[in-house]
Amino acid sequence: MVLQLLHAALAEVRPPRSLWVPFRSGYALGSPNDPEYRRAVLEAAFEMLEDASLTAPALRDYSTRD
Amino acid sequence: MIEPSASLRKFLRALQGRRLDEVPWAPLSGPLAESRVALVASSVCLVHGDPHEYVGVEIGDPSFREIDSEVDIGELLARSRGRAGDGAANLERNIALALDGLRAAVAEGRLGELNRRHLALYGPVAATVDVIRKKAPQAAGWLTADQVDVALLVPT
Repeated sequence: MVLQLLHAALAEVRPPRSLWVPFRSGYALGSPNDPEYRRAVLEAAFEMLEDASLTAPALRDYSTRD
Repeated sequence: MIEPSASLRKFLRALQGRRLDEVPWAPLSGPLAESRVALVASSVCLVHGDPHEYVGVEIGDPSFREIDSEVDIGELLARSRGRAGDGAANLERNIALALDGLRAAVAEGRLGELNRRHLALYGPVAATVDVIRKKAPQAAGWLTADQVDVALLVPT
């Protein structure tokens, strides 16, 4: 399960499961000292892992998450 | 969307031709609440006392460093001669390793357990081929030997 900041890298490498996160370099899990937000990003990754309907390469965009 | 800098564009060019024709897929072997999880961070984080600590991690260092799962987050150092991303890791090491978040998930029963060790690889790797051909398979072997169910790759 990959979190990735660079959409271009995901497009090139195509990992099995990827969650593209719309943050700047160094902030893959959101802002510092915001454990709730960080947990939300992790939860999105957990949900991808549990989604039995996904097939490789599976890519989700965290910014469009409800 | 982040637009790659010139150096990142160079890095992305190094990835060209690395795409797998068939992307491997491994479904969870059981519930996530029973799974063993390891972090693999492209991070400059080092543990206090790491031999690299005193000289800093050289840009492009392809080595993986093991982070004990019981480590005190405060003992982690984000020290390197690199540039972008180091500041955030220094601001809060959880960004680099997310250990507290994962520990909380285990405590809540969301995850089964954390692996005894996690891995950190310096992000802006120059020796991409070395990582792909040697270091990454070695790291995968370590996690396989540890019977890890989920490897979560987090960039710095």
